[in-house]
Amino acid sequence: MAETPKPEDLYQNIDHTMPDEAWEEIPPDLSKGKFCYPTKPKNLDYLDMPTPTKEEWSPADEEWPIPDNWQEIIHEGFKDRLEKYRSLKIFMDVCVRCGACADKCHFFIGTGDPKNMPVLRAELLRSVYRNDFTTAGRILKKLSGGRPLTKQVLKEWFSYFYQCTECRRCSLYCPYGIDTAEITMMGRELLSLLGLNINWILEPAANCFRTGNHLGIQPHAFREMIDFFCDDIEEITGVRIEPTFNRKGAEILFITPSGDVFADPGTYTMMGYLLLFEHLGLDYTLSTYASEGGNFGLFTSSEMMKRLNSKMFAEAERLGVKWILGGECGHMWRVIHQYMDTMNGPPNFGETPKSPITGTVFENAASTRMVHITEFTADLLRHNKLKLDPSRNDNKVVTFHDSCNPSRAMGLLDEPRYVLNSVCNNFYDMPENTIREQTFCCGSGSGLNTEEIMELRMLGGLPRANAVKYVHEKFGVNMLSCICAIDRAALPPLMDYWVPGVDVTGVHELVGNALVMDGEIERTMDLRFEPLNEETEEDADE
Amino acid sequence: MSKKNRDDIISARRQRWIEKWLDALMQTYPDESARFFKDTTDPFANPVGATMKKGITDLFDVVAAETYDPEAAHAALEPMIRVRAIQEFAPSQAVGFVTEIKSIIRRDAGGSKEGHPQAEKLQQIGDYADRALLAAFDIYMNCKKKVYELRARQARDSVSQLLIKKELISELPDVDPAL
Repeated sequence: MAETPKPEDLYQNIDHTMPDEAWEEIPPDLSKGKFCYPTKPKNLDYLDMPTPTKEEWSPADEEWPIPDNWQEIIHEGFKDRLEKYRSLKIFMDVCVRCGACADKCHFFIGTGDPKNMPVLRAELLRSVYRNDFTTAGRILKKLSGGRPLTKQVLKEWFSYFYQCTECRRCSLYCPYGIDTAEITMMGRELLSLLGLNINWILEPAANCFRTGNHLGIQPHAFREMIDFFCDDIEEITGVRIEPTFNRKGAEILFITPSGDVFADPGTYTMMGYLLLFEHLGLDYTLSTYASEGGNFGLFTSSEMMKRLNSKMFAEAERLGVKWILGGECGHMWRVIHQYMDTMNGPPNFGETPKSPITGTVFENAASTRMVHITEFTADLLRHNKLKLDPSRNDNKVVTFHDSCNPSRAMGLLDEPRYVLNSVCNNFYDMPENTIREQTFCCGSGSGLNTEEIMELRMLGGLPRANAVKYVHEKFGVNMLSCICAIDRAALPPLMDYWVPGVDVTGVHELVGNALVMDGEIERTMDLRFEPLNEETEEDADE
Repeated sequence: MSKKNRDDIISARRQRWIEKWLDALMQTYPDESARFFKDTTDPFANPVGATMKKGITDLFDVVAAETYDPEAAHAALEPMIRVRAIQEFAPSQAVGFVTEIKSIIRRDAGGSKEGHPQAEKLQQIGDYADRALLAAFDIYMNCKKKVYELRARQARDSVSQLLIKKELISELPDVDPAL
């Protein structure tokens, strides 16, 4: 747990009046409580990443443990990436500082810190680019907006590239389509060349290599957890489910973020998936090797992302499945939808995914062989293949948080709403400029869901919470649904702080509640063992 | 001076004082941010600004009322303090804006003399602002405690269910009332 700093340590002499110096001159605040903990050296070591020190250190330290030739390392790394990624070079050159992005970042909206304006966040990198890689910058230096890479600049990068959740809301408004998430990704890649990454990202990444998932849960424990869910499902529905693990020859491999297996309320979503597959009689299997849909490589480097992602194809090939069905996750789908084909494609297994129930061919997933579960379920509903009793969700007044990655990165906007409107009777959307493509981030994505920066997370999540508060007060919304495991971990404390009385759920938890299973007992409880309605509660009391 | 006249003085200046109070609050933010907080009117694009505008307006009506209503004061202050408690402010700065109305009124109504009925009303506004400041401090502390609780809960809950389900720790079972 984070050491709780004394108020006087945190807040002494903070002055918000506009300083006289230019922004470049103002040092980042790296006092306690203002930064994510840096990664433990053992994680760097395990991931074959540069490990400049074996000692633990703090960003609050004056001197950081970086190699003597650190400037050269960054310069060469920057140069490599400018040559490799044309997009990066364009993003560095093309910004006209119009300011369209400035007030679109949830961190700026919440904190009011000008360096959280996306334009300025990019300028942290761009100023060094101008100085080092442009003729005008070499000659005109500061006059052209260039600045040399100093230790203060490096500290600024660490501070502000770990205050960006890579949600890409700003890029939606940029007339040039500059993707600040990719700028942050490059910033983090460069920092990682010096071993400067955070523990909340690299520990899960290292665990993923070792045991297959973020928490470091071993295969037998993974299997036992699923068995526990099956016990709970049997108690609630009377139906016994026996999923298979690592079964060769299954038609479909199901991969979901490990948060669904190990963290409430994601676990209830996992129970929803299991009920759905049983309802359909689906020929599927789970893997204890590819037991993690999430990919913290996305927050580290393209190489790390590629290595972690490759397990999905490798396992699908080994098991000989036809295609992969993917669970509710955010950044997992950004990796699959936008990078997987380039990084690890084309796949050496299977065929273009085809629903065995409806016969629908998912042409959009031809290159990755991976279908998102809400697309799969929406297709089932469209073909009337599910027996449902939506009234079992009547004690919930539901709204939907579009998770940044499925909405902005893959355009999954209508499918979740179609599913929700089919499985529950009370659904209300939040205001237009806070949902769908314009959705506000949970404030904790891209590896920032760590407790030491709780204040920052609450401020980053304020615009989202504010919109939830509106539908909570107007329509009595008491359940915030989402299709992302990070959301399911990040939104409960956010709701607890800003909108008490609103709980968080995955979409397929609600599907699981509504599904009428063959041979089921009369349902009196939802998947959380809570009574389905007031009457049931009273009956139980009698 | 009759009560009606006193109220007229207040209502005539209400809007101007509210604006000045909001300006004083916004001065605690960097210029760029204050401009955004003040000028962007969509409450969903600018929740901080919208919260502060509504909060200051409601708070003015609390301190200008004939009697001090603690519940109304809490309702006006809570959303503002909830934001400022987690922004980068010293505790004194986070709640300090509450009494700014005193100096705004003092400057604006400089001519009023002691014993003058208007001065009495203005004094009352100041007294109510002091009471609101104390209420703000209570809210501030509750918000801070909440953040620390959330932080502790995340650390505690991250693996506790797993430990229970794996039977590495054993909890007392829930007591069945039927037994």
